[in-house]
Amino acid sequence: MYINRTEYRLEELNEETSIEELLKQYQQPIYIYCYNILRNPHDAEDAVQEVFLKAYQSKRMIEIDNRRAWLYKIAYNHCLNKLRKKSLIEFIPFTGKEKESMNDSHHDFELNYILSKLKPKERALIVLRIIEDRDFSEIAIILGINAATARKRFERLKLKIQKVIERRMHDEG
Amino acid sequence: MKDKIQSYEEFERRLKSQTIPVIKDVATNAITRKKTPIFLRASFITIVLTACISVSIAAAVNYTGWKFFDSEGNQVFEVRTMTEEEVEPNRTYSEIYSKYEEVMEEIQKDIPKGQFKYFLVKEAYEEIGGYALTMLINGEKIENVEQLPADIREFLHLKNEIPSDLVLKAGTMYYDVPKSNANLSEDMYKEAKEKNLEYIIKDGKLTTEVSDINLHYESKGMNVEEGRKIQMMIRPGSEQMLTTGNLAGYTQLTEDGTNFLYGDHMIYFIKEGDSQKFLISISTSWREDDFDEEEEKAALLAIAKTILN
Repeated sequence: MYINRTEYRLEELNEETSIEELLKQYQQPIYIYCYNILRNPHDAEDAVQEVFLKAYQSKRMIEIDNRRAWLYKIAYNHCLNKLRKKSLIEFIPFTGKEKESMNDSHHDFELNYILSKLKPKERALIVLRIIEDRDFSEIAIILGINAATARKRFERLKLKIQKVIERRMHDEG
Repeated sequence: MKDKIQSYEEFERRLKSQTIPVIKDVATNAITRKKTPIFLRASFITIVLTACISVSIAAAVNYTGWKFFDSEGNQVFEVRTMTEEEVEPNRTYSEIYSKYEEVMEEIQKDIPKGQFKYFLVKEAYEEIGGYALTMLINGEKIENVEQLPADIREFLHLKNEIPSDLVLKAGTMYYDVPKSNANLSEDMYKEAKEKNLEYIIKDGKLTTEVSDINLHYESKGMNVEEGRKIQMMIRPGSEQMLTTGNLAGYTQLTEDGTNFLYGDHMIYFIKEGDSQKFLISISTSWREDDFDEEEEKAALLAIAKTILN
């Protein structure tokens, strides 16, 4: 009994040390990542808590080589699930009439407008590539796709953003 | 207000330089709470479980659904959380169709005015049958409520200006789809199978009846950064609405004999006449630090009352 408990505590101490290192290094970047996907500071804070709790509770942490990608993958899945659960969804087939995002938490309205025209998955890709400057192989791990697809999606996304900008310029005269 | 973004390069620059608050050690606090000594964990778990069981029972009684009654006590509408059996096909639908989002967007872009497309993924039909049938529809943009059909506008007393100094900024109305042939999804599936297609598309013609209306209002006289926004969604009322959401945070309000459901920055209510019935939801974008729920509730009720009149 005593031996088991001692061993458990030693293992826990190692985990604590690891998680503290991860926290120190990635808490703010993960917050920025979640904030840009969720477009809400309070939800992003909750997401950071959940992400690190999941990481802490995961028995896989010690086995993971690329912990950064692993953390971002947890964050990505958590944010998408949160967005999925958040809205009331009527059980009717997709008609393209989903509720539009109305989050007003950003000071840069123009930037917010463009981001609101992107899907959460697209915002995740944009943050990883533009803000985080990640290469496509790491983005691919996080988003669960292959590197070529990640690159292709990013190129398509650039065009989409360009079109949103042009349409807005045109509409506003 | 910041200047317009005129190029993709400028978008990148503004994205990189956006102001994002630095958070305190939220995650450390959460994890520290979990670092209880082993001998305390059992009791902690017991307490949490007890609390969960109590909450679940309460939820079963109060929060899995809401019923709306008219002033004569007749049930006019019900909102309830889906059972696991009902959620399952919905989940399957989302999983399968999420892989076709881009395809659907491409198709939807080119749909001519007055038309829509039926869209069916073969794999989805095999899993969930007729639920898999999807309609791709484009809405018609409006700039003022005068562009809406007069009978709906008058029945709902829709205005370009509403309480809290809000003005209509943009709107979209959607024309209804005709009732489809009961065998349509099966026929489409058979055709997709015969032709060995992953998915199949079929043309449809919209009716002249307006079904759903979305209206966006913004603060008048304030710049957009400081302003508040309201979104109003109007859809034909059926008997019930099923949801995958958690209704635990919602409360039911009754004002002048009308039932409202309020929660998650949103209010729901029904307006019913002799031949018309609409489910209306009004939501706010209010997420400030000093956000006042009572103020929001009062503002939403004030807007709702102009519609109920």
